[in-house]
Amino acid sequence: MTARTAIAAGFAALAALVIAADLMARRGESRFRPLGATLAGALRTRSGRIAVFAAWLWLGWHFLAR
Amino acid sequence: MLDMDRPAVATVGDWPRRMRWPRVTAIAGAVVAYALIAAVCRPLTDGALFAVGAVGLPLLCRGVWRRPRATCPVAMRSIAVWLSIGVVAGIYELGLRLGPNDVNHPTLSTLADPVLGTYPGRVGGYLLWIGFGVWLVTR
Repeated sequence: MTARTAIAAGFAALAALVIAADLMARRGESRFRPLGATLAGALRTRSGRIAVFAAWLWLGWHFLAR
Repeated sequence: MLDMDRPAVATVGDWPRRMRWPRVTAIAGAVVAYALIAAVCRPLTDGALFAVGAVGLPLLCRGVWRRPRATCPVAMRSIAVWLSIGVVAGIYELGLRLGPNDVNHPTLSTLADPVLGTYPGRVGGYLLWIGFGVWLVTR
């Protein structure tokens, strides 16, 4: 396995972790909430909205424009 | 008495059902049209910077200054779980960025370059990014 393949596998594992955690959060007995609900909760405050929207804008700039 | 289930401002979800779908369809159509046009601009050009800024800055301003829906508070446990995953991902990406960052040790954006280097890939990228932004604005 090359370093590049191992690094790509690391990103795939992180994506799988996010999906697994989100699915686990949607189960009735879960003690934490899904990612979408957590993000929506973060938007309750002005500082949370600034952080979330700044991160969103940075993602667009970094992947699509830079 | 304050009704916590009621959104603080009018949103897509507040519109009468007969008016909601035309509005949602119009927004979705505008997002698709914008993605098809913006994707013509290749990364690292002024056009791409304009394409991102022209939709990103207005959505950022609207999202930051509007009152969000009255959502339930999120417990610290949820924030801790998602923040932990975010920190792990951030450290992983930063470690690669501060390392060699060459073809053999690519960051996530370097890995995505072959996809975003094509027109269909950029259309998908703009759809995901703008769609996520619209979702955030309507929370």
